[in-house]
Amino acid sequence: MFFFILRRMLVAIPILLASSFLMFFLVTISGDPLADLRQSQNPNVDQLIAARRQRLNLDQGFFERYIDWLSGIIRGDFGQNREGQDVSALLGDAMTTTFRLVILATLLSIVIGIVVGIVTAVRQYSIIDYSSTFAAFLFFSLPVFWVAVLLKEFGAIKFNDFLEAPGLSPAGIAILSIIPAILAFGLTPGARRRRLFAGAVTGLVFLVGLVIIDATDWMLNPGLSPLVVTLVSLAVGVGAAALFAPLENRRVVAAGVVTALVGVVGSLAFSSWIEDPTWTQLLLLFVLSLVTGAVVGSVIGGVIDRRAAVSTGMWATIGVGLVVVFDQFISAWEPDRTIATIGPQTPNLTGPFWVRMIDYAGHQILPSLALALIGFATFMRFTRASMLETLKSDYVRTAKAKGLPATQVIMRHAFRTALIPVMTVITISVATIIEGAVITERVFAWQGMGSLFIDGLNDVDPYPVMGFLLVTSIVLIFMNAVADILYAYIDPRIRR
Amino acid sequence: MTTQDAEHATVADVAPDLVGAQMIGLEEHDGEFTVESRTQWQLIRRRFFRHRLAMVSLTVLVAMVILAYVGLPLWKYPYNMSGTLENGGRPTLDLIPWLDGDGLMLGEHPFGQDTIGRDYFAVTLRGAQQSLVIATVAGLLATAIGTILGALSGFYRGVTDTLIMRFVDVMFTIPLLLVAAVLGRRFGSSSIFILAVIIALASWLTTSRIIRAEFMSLREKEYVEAARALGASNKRIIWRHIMPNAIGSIVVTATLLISAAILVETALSFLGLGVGGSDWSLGKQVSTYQTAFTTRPWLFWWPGIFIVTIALCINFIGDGLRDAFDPKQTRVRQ
Amino acid sequence: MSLTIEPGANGQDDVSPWDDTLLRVEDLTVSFPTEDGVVEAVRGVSYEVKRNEVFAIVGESGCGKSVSTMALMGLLPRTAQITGRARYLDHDLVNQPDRKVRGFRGNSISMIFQDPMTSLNPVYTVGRQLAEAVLAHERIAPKVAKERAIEILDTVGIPQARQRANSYPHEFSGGMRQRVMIAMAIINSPEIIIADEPTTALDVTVQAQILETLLEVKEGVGAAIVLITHDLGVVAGVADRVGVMYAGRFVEEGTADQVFHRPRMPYTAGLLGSVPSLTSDTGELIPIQGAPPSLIKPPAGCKFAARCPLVIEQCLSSEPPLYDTDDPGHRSACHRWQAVADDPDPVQLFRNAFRKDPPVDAALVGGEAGSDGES
Repeated sequence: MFFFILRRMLVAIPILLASSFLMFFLVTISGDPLADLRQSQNPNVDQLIAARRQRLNLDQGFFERYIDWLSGIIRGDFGQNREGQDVSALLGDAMTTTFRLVILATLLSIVIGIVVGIVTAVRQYSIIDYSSTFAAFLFFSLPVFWVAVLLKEFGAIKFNDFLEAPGLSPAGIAILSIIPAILAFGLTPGARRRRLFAGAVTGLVFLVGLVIIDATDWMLNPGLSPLVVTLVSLAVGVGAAALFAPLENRRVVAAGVVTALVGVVGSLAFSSWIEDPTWTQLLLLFVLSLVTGAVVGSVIGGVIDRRAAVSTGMWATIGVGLVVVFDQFISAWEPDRTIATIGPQTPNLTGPFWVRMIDYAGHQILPSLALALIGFATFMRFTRASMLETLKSDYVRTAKAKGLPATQVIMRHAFRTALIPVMTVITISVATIIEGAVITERVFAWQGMGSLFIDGLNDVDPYPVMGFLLVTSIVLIFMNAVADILYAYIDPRIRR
Repeated sequence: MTTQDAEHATVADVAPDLVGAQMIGLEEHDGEFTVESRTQWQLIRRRFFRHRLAMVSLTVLVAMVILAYVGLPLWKYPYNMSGTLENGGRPTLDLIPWLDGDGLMLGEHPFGQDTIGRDYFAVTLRGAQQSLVIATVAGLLATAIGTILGALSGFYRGVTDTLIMRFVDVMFTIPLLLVAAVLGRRFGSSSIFILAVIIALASWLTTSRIIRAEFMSLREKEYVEAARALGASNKRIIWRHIMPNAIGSIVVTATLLISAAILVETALSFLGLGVGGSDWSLGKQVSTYQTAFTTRPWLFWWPGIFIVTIALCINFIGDGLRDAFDPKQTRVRQ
Repeated sequence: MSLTIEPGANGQDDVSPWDDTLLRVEDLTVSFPTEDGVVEAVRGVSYEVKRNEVFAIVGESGCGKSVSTMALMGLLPRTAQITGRARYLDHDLVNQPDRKVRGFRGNSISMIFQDPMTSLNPVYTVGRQLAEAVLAHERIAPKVAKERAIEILDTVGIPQARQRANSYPHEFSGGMRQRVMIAMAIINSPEIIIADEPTTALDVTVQAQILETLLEVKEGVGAAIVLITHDLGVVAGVADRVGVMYAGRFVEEGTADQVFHRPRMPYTAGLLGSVPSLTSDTGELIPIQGAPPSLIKPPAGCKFAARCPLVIEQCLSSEPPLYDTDDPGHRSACHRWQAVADDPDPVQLFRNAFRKDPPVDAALVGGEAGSDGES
C-alpha cells in the first residue's frame, strides 16, 4: 500500500509539469500585458513600460520565462503582479478564503449526495426517488451564478426579513408538516399501511412542534432546553445502535443509550468550556468524547458485541456532540441580519466563540449551498446508478441468502463496492466546484482566488492568473491521487 | 492508471455497453411469438417514444426553438430597437388570469422592457437563438473531438492510446471553464462560432474517456473478432461493427454536452467573456441584469428561466435516449 | 441413503404429511411485470423435500427452476409477484415480513449459486464473509466465528485454510471459490441446501470434484439438497427424486430411476435424447426442435405441444395436470403419457418427428392455433 501511494505521487509530478507548461502557454497567448500602457497618454509611459517589462520578465522568450517562473515556484516565489505585489502573499490570503468555501461545499455535496443516492437506489421508483432525481436534473441545469443571485435574494434578504418578525401562517405550518410526512412515507419500508402510519406520525410530530415553536416565539429566542437535548441525544444513541446491529441486540442499544447519557452529563460538566471554547479546547473535547464512547462501548459490548458497541458508542458521542454544538449555535443566534450577502465574515468582529462561529456560518452558508448543489447532483446520480448496479449483483444476493439484515446487506455489501466508481468522480466534481467558486465568490463579494483570477484576467496580469491555475491544478492532482488511494483501499484487486 | 480507473464510472452511468444481442429484448423471452420481432432501431425508437418525460421535454424544446426562430421575425419589435418605457417596463404577460380577471393575454411587451426600452421578449428570443446555436455547435464539436480521440485511443491502443490519454490526464488537471475564459479573452467576442469552438475545446475530455472505454470493450467482442478473422479491414470493423454499437453512448454524451455548453456559455458571459458587441445571448442577459434583480426582476428571471428550461429539457431527452439505448436500465415501474 | 417415494401421492397430502418432510411447496407462482406484459415465470409448482434426500429440478434455462427456489429464499426483486405457499417445517416462507424469514436464510436453508466468480464480494476476505454468515445467526465472538470459518474451509478441501481465509476472492480459482460458496452454505449446519446450477460455470474436470464435495458435506451436516440443474448427467448420478420443469411448471416427477429409464412425458424423453452419455444405442443425438414458448401470454393447452411429436387436438386446448401414471409415485403432465409408456424407446419419437415433417413449421402452426383457442 505504501509503495502504491508513493508511485501514485510520483506519477503526479510529470502531469503537473505538463499542465503548468500548457497553462503558461495559454496565459501567455491570452493577451498583451502592456496593452493599457501602449494607449496611455502618461508622459513617462516609456518608463512605465520598461518597468513592467522588467517586472513581468517580458524581454525574455517564452521558454526562458517559463523556466524562470518554474524555478521561482520551486523556491516558493510565484512572481509579482503588475503593481509589483508578491503573488505568493496574495495567493496565501485568497487560498484560505476560497478553500474554506470549496472544502465545505465539497464535503456537503459528497455526504448529502451519497446518502440521498443510497436512499433513492434502495427505494427505487418511490416518491423520494422521483423527486430527488428530478432535483438532481434541475441542479444540473442551473447556471451557478443565477442560483447564487437567487439565493442571495431569497436565502438572505427575504429570509432575514422573515427573521425580523418570524411567524408562521397556518398554510406554512401545513406545508412544513406535509413535506416530512411525505418523506417518511417514502422512506419507511414494508406494507402500505405501515408507511401511511409512519407518514402520519411524522407529519403530526412536525405539526405539533411547529405550532409550539410558533406560539412560544422560539425563533426570536432559540435554544434547546436540557430536556430536549437529553431526549434528542437518547434518540441519537438508539439511532447509532441501529446502524451497527439489529435493535433486538440489547447490549448494543444499551451502549448507545449509555454513551448518550454520559455525553449529556459530560457536556454539563464541561459547560464552561463549551460555552466559550477555543479551538484547542473543542478539539480536546472531541477526542475525549470519542474515547469515552469507545470505552463505554467496549465495556458494555463484552467479547461478542465489542466491535458493534464501540462503533455505536463513538458515533453516538459524535451525534451528541453535534446536538450540543447545535444548541450553542442557535443560542448565540441574534435575530439580526444573520444571513450575510457580502464577504466571508463580518470585519473586526469580536465576541464569544459561538457568536463568531454563527457569523462565519451566516456568511458561509449561501455560497456553499450554491456550490454544493452541483456536486450534490453529480454524487447523487453516480451513487444511485452505482448502487442500483451493485444491489442487483450476485454477491449482494449471496449476502441476503446468508440471512444478513437488510441494513448490513446494503451498507456492507452493496454500498462499499458501489463507492468504487463514485470515488472517480470526486476529482471531476472538485474541478467543477472550484470553477463555480470563482463565480460564487464574485456574486457574494468575497476577495478570494476567484477575484485574483478574474481581475488578473481582465488586466492581462499573467502571474496572479498562473498562481491561481497552478494551485487549482495541484489541488486537482492531489484529489485525483486521494481518489486513487481510496479506490485501492476499498478494492483489494487494485492494491499491488 | 487514473484513466483506466475513471472510465468505469462514467461508462456505467452514461452508457453501459450495448451488446447487439441484448437489444433484441429481454433474455427470458426471445423465442416469443406473441410479439412480433423488431429491429434494434425500432426497439430504441419505441423505448424513447415511451419515455414520457423525454417526450414532454422534446416537445417543449421544439416549441422553444420554433418560438426563437419563427417567433422573433414575426414579432412586432426587433430585438435591438429601443423605445419609450411603458409602465416602468413591467411585463404585460398575464399567465395567471384568475388573479386579476384580465384574462390570458400577451400585451404590448409580454416580458417587459429593459432599461432603455427595448422589448425584452424580442431580446430574450434573440438571446435564445444565439445560445442555442452556441450550445449546439459547441456540443457537437466537443462530441466529435471526444469521439475521434477516444475511438483512436480505444481501437488502436498502444502508443496512440498512451499519448492521447496522458494528454487527457494533463487536461483534466486544468480547470477548463477558466481556460476557456483565458482563451475567450483573446479570441472570443468576435463571433459566436469562435466562442462555441472555445467551449468545445474545454469540454470534450469526459467524452473521450467514455468513447475510449466503449471502443476498448467493443473491440474485444466475439463479433468483432469474427469480422477480423474474416479479413475485414480496420475501417470496416470500426464503421460496420463498432460504431453501430457505440452510437448510443455518443448520442447520449452529445446531448449532455449540449446542455452543459449552455451553462458554460452563461458562466463565460458572467466572467465577461461571452457574446460581444450589442448582440445578446441568454447568459449575457442574466449577467448583464443581475444587479437589476431588486428593481427589475423580470430582466433576470426570463433569460434564467429560458436557460434552465432548455438545459433541463436537453438533460431529460438525454436521459430518455440513455434508457432507450440501454435496455438493462429500463425497468418495470409498478 | 433413504430413497423416499410418496405412496399414492396425487396432490392429496392427507397421509401423515409431517413424517419426514422438511420443505413443502404448494402451488407456487411467480410473475414479473415487464414492459411487454406480465412474465409468468413459475405457474403453479408443488413439491416436497424430505430429510436427507437429494431432490433435483431439471429443465432448460428460463423454465423457472431458479426463480422458484429464489422465491423461497426471498431473493427475488420487489417487483416479483408471488402466490402460493412454501413451508419449512411449519414456518411459512413466502410473502412474509423479512424479519420473520431472515432467521431461516443461510441458517436452516442455505443456497449455493451458479457463478462463483461473481457470488463473493470482491472487497472482503473470504474468512470474513464466512464468519459473517455465522454472526448473522449466532451471538458469538467474532474470533470464534473466524475459527469456525477456517475449520469449514478445511472441511470443503481448501488447503492451508488458515492462510487462505485471509485471501480475497480474486485470489481463488473458480473451483476454489465454489468450495468457499459450499463452505458458506454449510457453515451453519443447514437442513436444506439449495444448489442452483452449482457446477455449470466450472471446468468439466472440476465439476465432479465440486459435486463430490457437496455430497460429502451434505452427509456431514445431514442436510437435504435441492439440486437445480440442466445437466442430466449430474442428476442421474446423485438425485433420489427428480422433477422436470418446462415453461414454469413441473411436467414430470418421480424417482431418478423412473424418470431416466421410464419417462412418461415426451419432453423428458426429448431431453434424454439430446444428451450424449444417456442415448441408448447409436450415440446419435436427437435434438428437440423449436424453442420454449414465451411466458408472456403463453398459448393455451400444453406448453410443449408445439414441439411435441405426439401432439393431439386435446393438447392444444387443455393443459394437462400431473397425472398419476402406471408407475407408483411417478407423475406426468401429459395427456398421452400412456403412449409414451407404450413406446419401447420413447427417445426415438423425436427422430421420427423430425423425419416426418419439419417441427419448425409445426411449432408455428401449433403456436398460432393455441393462441387462437385462448381468446
